[in-house]
Amino acid sequence: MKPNETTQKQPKRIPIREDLFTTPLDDLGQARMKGSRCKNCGEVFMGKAATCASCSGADMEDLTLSNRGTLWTYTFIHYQPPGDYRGPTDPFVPFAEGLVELPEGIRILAPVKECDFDKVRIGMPLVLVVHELFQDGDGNQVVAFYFRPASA
Amino acid sequence: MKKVAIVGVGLHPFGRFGDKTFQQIGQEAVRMALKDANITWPDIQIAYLSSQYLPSTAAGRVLKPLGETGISLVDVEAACASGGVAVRQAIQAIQSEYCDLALAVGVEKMPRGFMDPMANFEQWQVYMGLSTNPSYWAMTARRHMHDYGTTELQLAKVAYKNHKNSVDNPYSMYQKEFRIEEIMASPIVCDPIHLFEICAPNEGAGAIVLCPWEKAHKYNSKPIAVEACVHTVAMYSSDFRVPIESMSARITNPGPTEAASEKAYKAAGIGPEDLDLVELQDTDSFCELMLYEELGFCKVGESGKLIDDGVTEKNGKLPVNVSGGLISKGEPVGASHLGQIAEIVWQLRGQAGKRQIPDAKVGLAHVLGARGNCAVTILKK
Repeated sequence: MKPNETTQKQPKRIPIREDLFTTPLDDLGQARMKGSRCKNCGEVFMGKAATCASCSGADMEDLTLSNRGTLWTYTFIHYQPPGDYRGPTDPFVPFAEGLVELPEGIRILAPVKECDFDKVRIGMPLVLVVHELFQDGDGNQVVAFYFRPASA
Repeated sequence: MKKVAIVGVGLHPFGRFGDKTFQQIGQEAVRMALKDANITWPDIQIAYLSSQYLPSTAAGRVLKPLGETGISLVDVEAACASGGVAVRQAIQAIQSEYCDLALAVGVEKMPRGFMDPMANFEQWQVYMGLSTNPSYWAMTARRHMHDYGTTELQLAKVAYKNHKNSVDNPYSMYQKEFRIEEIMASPIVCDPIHLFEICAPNEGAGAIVLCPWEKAHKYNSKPIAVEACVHTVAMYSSDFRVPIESMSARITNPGPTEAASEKAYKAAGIGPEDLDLVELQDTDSFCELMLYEELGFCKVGESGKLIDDGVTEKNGKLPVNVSGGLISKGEPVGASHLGQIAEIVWQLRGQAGKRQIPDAKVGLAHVLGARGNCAVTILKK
């Protein structure tokens, strides 16, 4: 997804979940996912966590998660997911879904796209893509994420 | 702790029943359980109703028409383990000497097709397409296959066994045997899980009447003892088969089934080797294999061999899901654990007809669902 570099007024970009990405979101290629680390036990969480779900500690520090990881497990989503799915639906584009292990010691549930299903395997290197998923009712571009093969 | 007995069981078949209301479905199961215990509704002193998809005050809606006696009618919900919580609460009501006769009833009438993702997922996950429920089970299966060499054929064998068992169960939704080839050729729901290897949401109800053990013979000549009834919710980073956004790569805690069954075995003073039959949460065929390991029937990674060796078949050393399991009965979420308990009670009383396991003395019922809600109940003749 390329940023629109015209001088026209651009729709505001907002994260699909609060505190999920580094800001600003002007250049999505530079955007990373944010995380929280427990200063007591070292466990890492996606986005902003006020409390550690492992040790109940409340002393958390912010960190930026690596944009590279490996595929820990996966499946393929062949049918349009139920509910208010905002990816392409006409036609629906099947995608892989997986847990992506990052060097910080966390596995993130994510869509895995731009990949040949036959070549998807556990352990394959992946890279983060931050992209505009859809325009909301207020005209904002809602920014989400997926991973793609690092070699592609 | 005061010993508690089951003195009455009732079951409404699991399936699809058109315009029949959840009230009618639930009341049928309750009437059957009351009759089985030789009592009438006004004898019941407290009732717990489990469901996940019924409207607020479902307990009142189902039970008040039987007689507005003014007793406490309590709704409970814990995803697929809801029924376990209803039973656990009823037991505690008796153990605390609040009452002598308690009812636990599970009732469900679910929408068709995939469950509403908003029931279990966050809005942003639904937007991104991360809310396909079977995908979590499929990913667990994929990782197990990678780590231990579990095969798609072994998954299919579980579905084959359970569908075959259900042929003799009039309470089951499908009651139809499928060939292994048919199972493996059925549409992929979520790779590697096929359509005939996964349970369907549906409708049904189950009910049990409980009382103190020392009074049980007054109501039923074949009371069944509840040796343990445990409910747990998954510990941190113990199970990603629940809607999650991420999990730890540094810590692995015991899964909810391992945690709940360990407590249940301890309370009952038995081990897995003492069980004569098991009804467990076969949401999908892989789930059953994983549970063989978490319930201690075999070592981690060896569940594929267990199904290959026929250990869990109806005439095997430890029959699992002789009722047909959720794969063939379907899963009316709030009612499923009560259905498992009804099956085990009939088996222990020697009333299971063609499904009867000879001389069954001890049975275990297990459910597991969203957020890692898990319940394990152990029953003894």
